[in-house]
Amino acid sequence: MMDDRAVSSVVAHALIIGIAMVLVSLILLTGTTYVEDQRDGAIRSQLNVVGQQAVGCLEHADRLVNATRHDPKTFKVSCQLPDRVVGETYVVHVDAPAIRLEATGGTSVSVPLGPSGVKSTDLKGGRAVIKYSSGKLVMTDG
Amino acid sequence: MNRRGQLLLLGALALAAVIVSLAIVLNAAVFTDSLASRGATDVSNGGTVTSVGEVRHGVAALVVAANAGGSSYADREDALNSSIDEFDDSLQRYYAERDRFVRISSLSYNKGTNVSQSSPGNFTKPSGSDPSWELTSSSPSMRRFRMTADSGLASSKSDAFKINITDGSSTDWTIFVYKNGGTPRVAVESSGTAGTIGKCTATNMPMSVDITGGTVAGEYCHALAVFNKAVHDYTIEYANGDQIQGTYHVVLPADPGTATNSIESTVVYNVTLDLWYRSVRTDYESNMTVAPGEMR
Repeated sequence: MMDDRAVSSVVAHALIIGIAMVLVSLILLTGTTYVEDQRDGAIRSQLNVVGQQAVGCLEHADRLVNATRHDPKTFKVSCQLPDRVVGETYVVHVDAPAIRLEATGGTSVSVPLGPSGVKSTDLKGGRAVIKYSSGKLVMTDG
Repeated sequence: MNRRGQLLLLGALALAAVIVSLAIVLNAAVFTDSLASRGATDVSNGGTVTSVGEVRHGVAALVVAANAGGSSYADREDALNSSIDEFDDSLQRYYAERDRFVRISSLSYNKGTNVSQSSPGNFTKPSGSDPSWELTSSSPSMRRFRMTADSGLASSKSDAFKINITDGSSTDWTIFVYKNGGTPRVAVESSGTAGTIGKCTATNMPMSVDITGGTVAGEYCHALAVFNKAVHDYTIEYANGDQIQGTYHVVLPADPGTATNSIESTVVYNVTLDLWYRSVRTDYESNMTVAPGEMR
């Protein structure tokens, strides 16, 4: 007999919707976590590359200062660093013997810095300028 | 059934959004890779340091050429002045084609003395032919110290022609030039803890030895590279100068004393230049002292 169903069709609907909701939210939850992880990894690797470039730029400036045995009279080297990493702005803390880059999201990366005659400075990501004053390299916003 | 469909639709949309943002993030990661490979050219700034090196080598060659000619110091300085001006012109033209501005102008010259026994003979004292004698004492530096041994080398180290070099920090080096079983050989020893530093050989005579350049018979000689550590105030002595036949040259910044009067000439020791380098990324001006073949 058709009237002998164990549960009413309303309950069956509620059950199906419930299961579907649990499944979809599970997929979304893992999906977003996965994207977050990937994003963090991408920011980290990009900050690392940008950090290496900043260090490379400082090392180039250091070699140029030492190219002659005299103190340079004019010295300005600019470095083109990207404005944003994975859509986030970032700051660069130059503090020998390392450079620390920190994205607004809080991810930070340290890159060792070779030259020792570098003044400690903080600057925004983007174009940077290296100058030479009283025996030290100074990296500032360009 | 209707509501289930809506839920699936919403779920699918949200999932699509997740996948799109994943694609954006992965794209950024790919960009990072391209940024990393692009870095090398960006960072070296179009070879500023290399250009400075090129200028240094160019001017060094001009100094050597000017010193080789001319009959008086004034002649050599004039020749150098005009060749530096010409070099400056060609530098400006060359770099203008490469979107850069490079120029040099000479600021000052330092006089030096070229001690040169240019016709083959014993390495004895020019006046009095004493086999052991002092070439110079407490010379602030030296450059282009070269010799060529043509013949007459001793066949054992104990009789060998020796060059004793002492620097301001009282480290002594001795360079022995002799034949070992018919093979011409240069050995370097130090009085300090280093002891025997090493030896280099040539296959046949004549053997050329570039002491400041660190080569024997045109090949790199590691034993002679130790002189890169010597700082200043060199005293150079020859011993057993009758155990060698050949020629030698050295350029010293000051007058080495009376011993070598007969084989001296006044030359340009070094040049101090003003150097400008300008490009899109670099603005640089500095003095530069060029002394070809000087020990550092």
